[in-house]
Amino acid sequence: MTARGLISLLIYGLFVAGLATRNGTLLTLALPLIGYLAFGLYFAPNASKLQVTRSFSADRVPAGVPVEVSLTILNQGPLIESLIVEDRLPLGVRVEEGEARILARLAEGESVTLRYSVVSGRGSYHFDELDVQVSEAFGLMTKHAQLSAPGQIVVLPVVQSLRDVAIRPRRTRGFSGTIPARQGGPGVAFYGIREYQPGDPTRWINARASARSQEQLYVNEFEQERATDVCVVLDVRRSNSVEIGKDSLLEYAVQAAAAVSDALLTRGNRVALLQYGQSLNWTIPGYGKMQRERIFQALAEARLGDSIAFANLENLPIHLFPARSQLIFISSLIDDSDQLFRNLRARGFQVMLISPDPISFEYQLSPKLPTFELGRRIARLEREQRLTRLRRIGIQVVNWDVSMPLTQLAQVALSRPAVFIPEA
Amino acid sequence: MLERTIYSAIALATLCLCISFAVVGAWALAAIWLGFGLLWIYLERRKSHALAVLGLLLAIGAAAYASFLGIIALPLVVAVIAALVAWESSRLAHRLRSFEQSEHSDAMVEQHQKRLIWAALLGVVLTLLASLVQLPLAFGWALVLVLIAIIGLVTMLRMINETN
Repeated sequence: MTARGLISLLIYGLFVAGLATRNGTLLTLALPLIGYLAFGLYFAPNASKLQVTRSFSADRVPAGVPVEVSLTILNQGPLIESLIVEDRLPLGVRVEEGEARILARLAEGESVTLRYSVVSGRGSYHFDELDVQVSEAFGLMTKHAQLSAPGQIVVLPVVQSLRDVAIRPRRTRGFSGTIPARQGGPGVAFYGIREYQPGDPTRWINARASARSQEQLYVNEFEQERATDVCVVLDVRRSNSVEIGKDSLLEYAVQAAAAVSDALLTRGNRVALLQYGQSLNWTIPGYGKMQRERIFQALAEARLGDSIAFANLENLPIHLFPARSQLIFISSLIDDSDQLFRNLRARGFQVMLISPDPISFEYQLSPKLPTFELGRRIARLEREQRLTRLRRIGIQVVNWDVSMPLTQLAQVALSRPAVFIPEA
Repeated sequence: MLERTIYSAIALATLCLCISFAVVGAWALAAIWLGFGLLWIYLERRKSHALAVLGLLLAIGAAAYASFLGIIALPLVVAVIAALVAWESSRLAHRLRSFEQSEHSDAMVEQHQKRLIWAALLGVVLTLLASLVQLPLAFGWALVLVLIAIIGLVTMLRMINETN
């Protein structure tokens, strides 16, 4: 019950009791309460005129880094005896330091600043309304209002630095980079030998090969290193992810996509990102820091979703990818997508699959029951079989047990080119 | 400042009620009120708001009961005003405590105290004026006034809610 309600009831209780018993003292006892309520009514706040501005210490931060939110409330109307401002936090944002509300008394033209820090997981968070409560000194007469102070913070995924991502696409671009181009020329890695041509540096002469021939000198040839086109395909279909409570396999997939994109962009490649789930979210190919920001922004907003049109990977828009480029799929691959990968290989794409392991993830977070153990073994066998089939069609498969850090996995599995297992 | 007001107001309400009960020989009630008043002060010192509403209700209830024992109105009205001041000050203290961030809280307390003094004075003045007015009231008229009071209560609460 509000204070106003309590006082009103007491007044009327005393009044009714006084009249019913015809006891004048009871009526007299109600008078101080009436005086008190009258003061509240008399000083009840009129329409207030408040202006609110919101600012953040940073609007793009990595996950787990606190952001200071500042709300400045300026009173453009008459004196407000008691003002309570409470900010509405978007879902998923929690207050790290301070409090998202303030109590103040604001004279005309005065302003007050509410400051607090928030932290949140990866995502894009929109702040909008805040609740304002204006009352007189006793807090008996209150006016509630919602004021708009829009703002947005983007919490980027955690990016782990990968030393190398060993890819060998069939086609590279004209610019120099770090990807072996399958063409002889200036470079570091030995590629082959050819006849000496005037102008070749003498230190390139292959003495052994030249000694075998009486008439011709031979020189070493190196493999050119170029930049290339890479498309990172992030599978955000709900049916292909595992969520247990607040933990989701998607977070690992996003982490891998961010790390791989970062590593490839740093080495001068042109990188694109496609999120395949409820809809197609396509970040067009690009180079450099701006592209990194675009990709990270897209990854920050990555959410699981379902759609009939994109229920399986067969509807992947292959025409978006530059011909014979490198594709990096990040998918837990719960469903069977062999046919798609066969098609991609047939069209000349080099494909790498980084697959966060759903079985170990689920097993890690589930109670350890004997029946679970048997189920886990069967599921593991099925998955191994599926991944082996993909390896046999020339897909570079990286099975990621998410209990292992990505950097450790990268040292083991991403730093050397794929091993091709021919089909039996 | 606020705490001092709360303790003084509780002490005054307790004193007035205890003396009133003691005058008519209701020593048990006086002792109960003394105990309750001390407990209220103790809890307020521990920053607890728990007894404030109960304190106000009991003070008004005790004053109403005391009016049937033939005690004069003035000490009872003073007790009710003191309990009201204690309750209202305790509410403000609780509100200030519940906020980590508050701006110009000293000015807010000062204004609150001044407003409370004026409200208390208005109560005293109204009481004194009321004591001068003596109207003979028949039972039928009393009943009509009760009905008007109930309708007035409902209408007023509805109007206040609509305004907000």
